[in-house]
Amino acid sequence: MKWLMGVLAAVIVFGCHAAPDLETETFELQYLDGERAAVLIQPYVFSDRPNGPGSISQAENMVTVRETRDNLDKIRRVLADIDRPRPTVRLHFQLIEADGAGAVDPAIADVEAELRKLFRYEGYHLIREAVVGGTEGSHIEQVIGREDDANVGFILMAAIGTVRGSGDSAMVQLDVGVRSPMRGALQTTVNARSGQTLVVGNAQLIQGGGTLILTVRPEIVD
Amino acid sequence: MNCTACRDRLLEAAPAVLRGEGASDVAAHLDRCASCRAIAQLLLDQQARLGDALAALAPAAAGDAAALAAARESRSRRQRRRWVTLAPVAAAAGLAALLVAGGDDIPPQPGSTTSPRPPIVEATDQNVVVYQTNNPDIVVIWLYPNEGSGT
Repeated sequence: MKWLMGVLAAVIVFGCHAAPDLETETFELQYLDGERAAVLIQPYVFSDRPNGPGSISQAENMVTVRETRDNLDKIRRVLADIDRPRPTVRLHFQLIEADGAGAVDPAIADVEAELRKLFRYEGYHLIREAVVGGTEGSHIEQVIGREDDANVGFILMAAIGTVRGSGDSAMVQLDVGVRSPMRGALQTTVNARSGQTLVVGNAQLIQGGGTLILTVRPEIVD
Repeated sequence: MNCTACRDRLLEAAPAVLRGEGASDVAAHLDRCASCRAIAQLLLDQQARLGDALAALAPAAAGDAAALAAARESRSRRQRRRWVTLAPVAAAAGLAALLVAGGDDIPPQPGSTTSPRPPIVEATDQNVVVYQTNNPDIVVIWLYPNEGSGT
C-alpha cells in the first residue's frame, strides 16, 4: 500500500512539473509590423512558465512564437482579428482669411453662414483649398500656395491619429495646423466625426491684418 | 497696478467698477489705460447681453388658468435657472479667453451665447472655445493663445 501511495505521489509531483509540449510557428503579417504584433500578442505567451517558457521573436512583417498548440491557435485568431488594413482618411482643407473680401464665396458658404452668426468680421475669403489623404498613424505636410513666396505660401500639417468606428459614425483624431513664416500659424488636436467640418480659428490677428481660419473635413475611405 | 493684475480682477469686478467709478485700484487703472478700459466695456456689453437673454426667457403673457400660469412660471424659472447656470460659464470662458489674449488687439466678439464643450479639442498651450453651430456638421473651434505662449 505504501508502495502504491509513493508511486501516486511521484506521478502527481512529476506530472505537475512535466514540461508542456511546445511548438513553434511563424505568422506572416499583411498590415501590422512584427514589432507591434509582438507587443499585442505578448499576453498570450507565457514566458515565465518554469518548466517550458514560451517565447516570441519578430522580424519586419513576421512574428515567430514558441508556445503550446492551444495558445498558438489562440494567437492565430488574435492576429487574424488585428492584422487588418489601416483606415485611410481623406482630409478636405480650406484656408480662409477673415476680414477679407465682403462678397460671399460659394465654396465656403456653409461655413461662412455659421461664422457670421458668431463673429463680427466684415467678410471671409477662401485663400486655398487642399485635399490630402493618409492612413491611420500617418503624418502629412503639404505646401499650399507658392512655396517660393512666403507672403502667399502656407504649409499645411496633418497627423492622422486613431480612427474609431466606421462609416459615417467613424471618429478620427487629428492634429491639424497651418503655418506661414510671414502670416502666422495655428495648430490644434481635434476629434472629428467623418463628414463633419471643423472650423479652427485663431483670435490673434495675422500679419497684414485679418484672421486665419482653417477648416478640415475628414472622410473615411473604405 | 499693471494691465495683467487689472485684467485678473476685471472678471469679478462690479459693473460700477467696470465703468471706472469709485476709488479702487481697478477703477484708477481703467481711468488711465485705454486697452483695459476697452476690455471692461466688452465685459459690460456681455453682461447687458446676458441680461437681455434672461429677460427674453420670461413668460410673454399670463395664461387664463391659474394652473397653466403656475406651470409656465415654474418652467420659466427652471429655464432661467439653467441660463443662470450656463451663462456665466459660457461668458467666463469667452471673457477669460479675451483677457488672456492680451495686447491691444481685442478679438472680435461672438454675437451669440457660447457653449464650451472641451472633449472635441485637446490644446495644451492655448485657450479654446468650441461653438456648436446650428449646423450639426459644422463645429467652430476658436483658439486664444496664452499670454507669452508665442503661438
